[in-house]
Amino acid sequence: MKRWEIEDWFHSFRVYLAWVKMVWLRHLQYRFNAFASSLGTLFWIFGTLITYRLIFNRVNTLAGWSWQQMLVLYGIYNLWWGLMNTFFNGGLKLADYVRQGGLDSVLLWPGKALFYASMKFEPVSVVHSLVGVIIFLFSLKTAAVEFRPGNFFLAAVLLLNSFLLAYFVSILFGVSSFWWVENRNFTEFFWLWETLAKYPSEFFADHKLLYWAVYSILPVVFIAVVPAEVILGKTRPMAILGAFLVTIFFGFLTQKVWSLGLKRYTGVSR
Amino acid sequence: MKKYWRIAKMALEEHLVYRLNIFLWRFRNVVFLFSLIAFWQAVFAGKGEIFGYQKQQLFTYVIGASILKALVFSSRVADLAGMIKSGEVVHKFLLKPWQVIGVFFSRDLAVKLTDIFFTLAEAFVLIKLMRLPIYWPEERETIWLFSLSCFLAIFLFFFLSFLLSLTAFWVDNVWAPRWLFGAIFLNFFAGAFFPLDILPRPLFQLINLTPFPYLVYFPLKIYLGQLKRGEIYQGIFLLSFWLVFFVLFTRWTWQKGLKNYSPWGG
Repeated sequence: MKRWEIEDWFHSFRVYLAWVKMVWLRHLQYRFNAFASSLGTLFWIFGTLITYRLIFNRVNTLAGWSWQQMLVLYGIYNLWWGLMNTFFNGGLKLADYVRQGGLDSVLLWPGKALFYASMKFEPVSVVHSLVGVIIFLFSLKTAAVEFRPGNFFLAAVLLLNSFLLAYFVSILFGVSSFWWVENRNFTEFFWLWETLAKYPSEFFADHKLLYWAVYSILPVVFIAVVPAEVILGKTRPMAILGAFLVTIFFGFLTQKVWSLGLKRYTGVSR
Repeated sequence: MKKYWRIAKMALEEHLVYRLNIFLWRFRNVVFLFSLIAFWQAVFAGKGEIFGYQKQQLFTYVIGASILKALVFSSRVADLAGMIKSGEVVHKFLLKPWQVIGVFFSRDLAVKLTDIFFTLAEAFVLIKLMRLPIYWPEERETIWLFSLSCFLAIFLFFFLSFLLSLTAFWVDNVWAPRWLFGAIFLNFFAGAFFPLDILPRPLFQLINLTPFPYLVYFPLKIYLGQLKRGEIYQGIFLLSFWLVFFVLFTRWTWQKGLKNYSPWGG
């Protein structure tokens, strides 16, 4: 990487920090909204947790996962979900930029166009991440997970990888608006991750098509399940390799589709 | 009446314009339902009964809940909040010779029609594909009472949702209250994800004091034949009570809101 490129990234990052500050101040204007959405998040997370607990009162394992193991998975999933929705799924915004003509001005800003178009900060989701951390720490205690630095480091790297994967996929969905004007359900489709990423892949073992899908075209297994397996000492080297390969593939695909889309784009200007 | 029929027809056409969009939306719903069934299959692995529900009853509940969600929850009333904020409500409703409730209900009917059509088709495919055991009631009266409760539930949800949108008269940003009450509380307390009677007794009784269980849980319990005649009539009475309450409250709030309302431009 050349020196000017590094400076360019630093500049973009400074712009991002200034923008985050602005978004935060705007967020504080609507306190009731912030309160209501935080309450909703807590309700959602603990509602699901209570349902799991009730079910585990009647069964010992779900598809081979015990209550404690499911708790580790659910903690990681919520941590991922909160941080992803706070910072990493800004690609979905691209659809609005394209539809409303705002992309023209983004393309003219000095710096990384794709970075600016996809930068995100969603203060509401910070609560989700914090609760995820709390559940995760609690689950480590409940599951009596042995602390192995190597495993924790690998799980952290895998989690970072899953943020990147979500970032690329969100851009892919957002960029689809270059071809399809009304792509609201492309972006809605992204939220399928919310549904599927919290389930161990063994849940789908009897359904070959879905089982294949969660490892390939809807690679949700690599989000929380694989990092949770590493922490629980159930490491599957092929799954870990798969996680990195899938992210590289989606990264490459995103860059290609973005370039193709830009060639096709005819601004509407605003 | 003719004008409302026209509005429903236009809403239906508008709804079906973007076909790829519809395909993706339905695909998402299918995968969601598929994953929910897979989850309950994992719960039932090697078990004949759980929480007092046999396999057949529980899968009927899950499939039934998805059908009832399409029938009861499909709605365009959320748009009203945006229209109030933007001032559109003035030239679209207040200056036109029609009732705002009638217009939105007509639009809702169109959305419900498409939703229910797709959901029934998807449910049929999933039942066949996953060989799900489904319960069919034998008594004709059960079907009638189930239909009546669904019919009342549609209206109850409509007025509940309408009322939530009316908060836009007083609040700048209605997204969070709508999400909190209209999505989170509603889905959980209506029993859209799981039967409410699996919850601890005190919590279940508390939820029963709210109008939410009458939207999904109550009709499905009638369908499954798990309620006694007396319980059904009592439930229908309470459902009707909530409906009348929300109709009156919505009318009152609408009038109060209009007095308070001052849109810009238009």
